[in-house]
Amino acid sequence: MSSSLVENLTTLQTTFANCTDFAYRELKIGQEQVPALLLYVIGITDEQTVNEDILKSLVNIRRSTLEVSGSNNIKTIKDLFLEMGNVTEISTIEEVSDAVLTGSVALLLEGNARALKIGTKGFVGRLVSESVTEAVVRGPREGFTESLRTNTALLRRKIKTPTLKLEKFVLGQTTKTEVNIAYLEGTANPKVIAEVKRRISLIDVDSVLESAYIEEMIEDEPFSVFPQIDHSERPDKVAAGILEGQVAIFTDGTPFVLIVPIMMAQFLHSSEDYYDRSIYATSIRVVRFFFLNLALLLPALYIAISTFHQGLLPTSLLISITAAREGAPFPTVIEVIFMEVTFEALREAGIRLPKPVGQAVSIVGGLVIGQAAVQANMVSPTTVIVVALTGIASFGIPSYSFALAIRILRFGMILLAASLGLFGMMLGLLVMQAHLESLRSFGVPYFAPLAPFNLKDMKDSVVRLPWWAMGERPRLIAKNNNNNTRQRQKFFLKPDPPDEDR
Amino acid sequence: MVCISFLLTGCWDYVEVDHMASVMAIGLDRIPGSEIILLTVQIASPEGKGASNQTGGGGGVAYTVMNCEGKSLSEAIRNLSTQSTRRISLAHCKLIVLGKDLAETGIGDIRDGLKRDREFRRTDWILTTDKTAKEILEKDIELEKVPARGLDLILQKFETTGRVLPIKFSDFFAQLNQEAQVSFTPLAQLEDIDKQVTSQLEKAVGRPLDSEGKPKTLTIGKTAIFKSLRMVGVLNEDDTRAHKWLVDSPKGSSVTLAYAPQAQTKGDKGEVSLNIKDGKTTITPQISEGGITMKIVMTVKASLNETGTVDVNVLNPKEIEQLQHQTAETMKLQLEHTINTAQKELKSDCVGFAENIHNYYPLEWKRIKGNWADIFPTLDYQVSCEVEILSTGMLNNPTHRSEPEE
Repeated sequence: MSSSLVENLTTLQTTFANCTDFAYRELKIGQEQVPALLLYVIGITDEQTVNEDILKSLVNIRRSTLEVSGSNNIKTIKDLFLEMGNVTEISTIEEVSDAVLTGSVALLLEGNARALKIGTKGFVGRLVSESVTEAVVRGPREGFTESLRTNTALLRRKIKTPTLKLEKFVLGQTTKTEVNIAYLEGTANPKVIAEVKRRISLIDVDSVLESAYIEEMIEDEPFSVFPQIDHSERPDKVAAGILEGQVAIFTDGTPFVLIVPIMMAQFLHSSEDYYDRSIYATSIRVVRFFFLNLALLLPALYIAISTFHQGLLPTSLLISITAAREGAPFPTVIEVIFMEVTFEALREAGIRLPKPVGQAVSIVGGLVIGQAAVQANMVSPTTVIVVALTGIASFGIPSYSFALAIRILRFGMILLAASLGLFGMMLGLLVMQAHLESLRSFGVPYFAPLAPFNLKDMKDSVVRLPWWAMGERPRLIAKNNNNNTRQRQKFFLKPDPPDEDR
Repeated sequence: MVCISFLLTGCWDYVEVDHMASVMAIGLDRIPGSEIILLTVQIASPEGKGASNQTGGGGGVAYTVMNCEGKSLSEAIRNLSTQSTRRISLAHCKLIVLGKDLAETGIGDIRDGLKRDREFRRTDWILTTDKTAKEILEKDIELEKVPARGLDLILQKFETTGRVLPIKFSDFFAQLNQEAQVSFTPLAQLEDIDKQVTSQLEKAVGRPLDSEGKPKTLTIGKTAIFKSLRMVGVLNEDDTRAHKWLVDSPKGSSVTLAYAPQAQTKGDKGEVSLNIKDGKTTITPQISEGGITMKIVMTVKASLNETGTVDVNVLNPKEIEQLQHQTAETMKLQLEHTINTAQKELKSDCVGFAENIHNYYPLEWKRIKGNWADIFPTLDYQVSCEVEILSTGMLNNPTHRSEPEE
C-alpha cells in the first residue's frame, strides 16, 4: 500500500472497474482536514452502520484537538474514535479489497500506508425458519440458514462452553467462502480434527458454493456409492453430533452442515429418535431397518422368486401371481424396471415442480399410469404393488443421500436377480457387505458398531436405550480420550419412585 | 466374482410364472400285468381365479387334468410335455395318489423316481385309493377350486384333530425301510354319501325325497396298510382311529360310547361323546421267560362333549369317575380289536411293535428278526387305558332335565 491516498484510490478503482456495487466516499476528517476514504460494497454492508456509526465517529474527530495528520494516526483513530467493535488494521491493497468484498468497510487515510477494516457485515438473508428436509413431530423446529454467523450462533446457543471451538478457513480463490469447523475440545478425537484440517487445507479450488463441494473433496472413498459424510440442516442434530465427538463443517452460503466421522447406522437415525421415548424410538428404528432391506431388495426378490424359485412361494400366492401375469407381454424384469423407472421419473418430477403442479403429477403418475398400465395389460398388478411398496419403503430412510445410494443399488440388485436369481442377489449382497465393511469415514469403520462389533456402542444403533442408560459417548467416535471425557453423564440414572417407608 | 459368475451361467433356470404349469397332485395307476405306468396330473390353472378384473374370481373349475403314460415315472412326466404348452413344475405338488392296482402290485419301481426327483417335496402327502388315481384326481371337492388343495387341507386338518393319520411320502418310504417294513397311507374313497342319506330318509318318510342327486363324494376315512412295498389290506374307520391312537397319539380324536349311569334308575342307556384334548400312548416291550409281552399304556385327557339322553350328573365326582372308567374300557377294547386285526387279518405290524422291540432290546430283536413274520401274529400284549375328564362343557346338568329358566 502506498501512503498516498490518491494512488491507493486509483489502484482500487482499476481493481473494481465495472463493479457498480463498489462504492467509496471521500471525506476530510479532523481540524486539519486530512483526506480520508471509505470503501465498501453496497448491499453486503449494513448501510445504517456506515452512515450512523462510522461517518459520525469520523466527523466527531473534528471537535477534538487531536492531530490527525501524521503517518501513525490510523491507529489513533482506531483506538480512540471509532465507536465500533470489530476493527482491525490491514496493510496491503489485497487485504483492502478482500475486506471490502467480504462486507467490511475499509478506511484509508492520507499519509498512512495502513488501513482500517471495520466489520459492518450486513447482508439481508433468510430468517431462521423450520427445517424442510428434516421435519420432526417433536423437537426443535429451527433450521440453519445461509448465513454462517447465524448458523454458528444457533450452535453456540446450544453448547455454552469455551471448549466448543470454531476454526476458520477460507476456501475458493474466487468465492472466498468462509468455512468453520466446529468441535468440542477434549471430546472430539484430536486425530480426526487434525485430519479434517489437513484435508480441508488441501482443497484448492476456484469456488465453493455449497458444502457438497467440500464433501466430495474430503471423503475417504470417492467412488463408493455410499455417503461417508453426513449433512444436516438441524442445529440440534449438529450439536448432538459435536457433543458425541463429531466434527461439524459449516460452510457460508448453505444451511447444510457436514458432520464427520459417520457410521452407516447413523443414516438410519432421525434426530427425533432422541426426543421420543426410547421404546417408541427403538420400534421405529427396527421398522426403518426393515424398510432399508425392503427398499434395497424387494423388487429383486420378487424377480428372483417369481422367475427362478417358484417353489418358494406359497401355492395360492403362486396361483394369484400367475393369474395376474396371464397375458403380460414383457418378462417380469422388464416390467419391474419399467415401473421403477416410471417411479423414479415421478419422484424427480415431484421434487422439481412447484407444489401445486407436483400434486397433479403424482395423481397422474400414481393413479392414472399405475391403473392404466395394469388395465391395458402392460404390467401385472403384482409388479405395481411391489414397486409401490418399494417406493414407500425408500421414503422410510431418513437420510436423503443414503436413500439415493440404496436407489442405485436397487437397480443393480434387480439386474443380478434377473440373471442369477437368489444366487445373484446373494453375490451382490456379499460384495456390498464386503465393501461396507472396508469403508472408513475419517478412520471410523463405516459398519460399526456391528463390524467391528462393540457391545457398548450398540446402545445407540438399531436400538436406542433410554437417556439414563447412555452413560458413555460412542467409543469409536470419541476415541483416544481418557475415560473421564468419554463418560458424558453419571451412570445409573434410572428414575425410581421413592422408597415407601420414607 | 460377480462378473465371472455371469460367464459361468450354463444352467439358465429362468422361467416366467405364466410359462409354467404347477402340478398340484399326481396320481399313479398301473394296468395289472403290465409295466406301463399311467400318470394323471392335476394342474392349477390360473384362469379360474379371476383371469381379469371383471369377475372377481367367480366360480368355475380352476384346474385341468392331464393323462399320460410311460415305462417309468420320469418318462411319464417327460411325456406330459408333448401335450402341455407350459413347463411342468412339480414344486407345488401337494400329494401323490396311488391307484389300487398299482398299490397292490407293488410300488418298488416308482419309489426311486419319487425320491430321486429334486422337485418333489419331502412333505408331499401320500394317499392310496380303492379306485384308480385318475378317478380321484378328476373329482371336484366342495368349496375348493383346486381339489388337490382341498385334499391338502383335509389331510392337514387330520394332522392335529383327525381320525385318520396322514403321512408324508418321505416318512412313508422311510417306514417301509424300517424293521417291520410296514407302513400305511390314508385311503381315499368315492362314496355316494348323498344317495345313502337320501335313501335312508326316503325309507323313514315313506316317499321319494325332493332332492337333487349329487355326484359321489371324495372321503378319507380308512387306512391302507403296506407291507414290503405292497398294499396288504385296509383298516376300517374304527381301526383307523385306534391306529392313530397307537402310532401317533389320541389327541384330537373323539370317542362315542354307550353309557348307563348305574346309580340312577330313570336314566336309560345312551350315547355319550367325549373329545380327547390331550393324550399319549407308550408301547414298551417286556421280556420275560414266557417271551415278549407288549405293554401298551394310553393316558387320555378328555372333555365331555355331549351326553345325549343320558342323565350324567357332572357335579358328582363318583359319576365322573365311572364315566372315565367306562371310556377307558371302551378305548381299550378298540385298541385290542385293532391290534388283533393287525395280527390275525393283515399279519403286518402296522402298530409299531417291531420298532419298539428294536429300540428297547436291540440284541433280542436281532435274534427274533428272522422269524418276526411268525412271531408277530402270536405276540402277547397288554393294554391299559387311563382317562381323565378335564371339563364338562358349559352345562352342569344335561339339557333335558327341566330347569327353571332364569
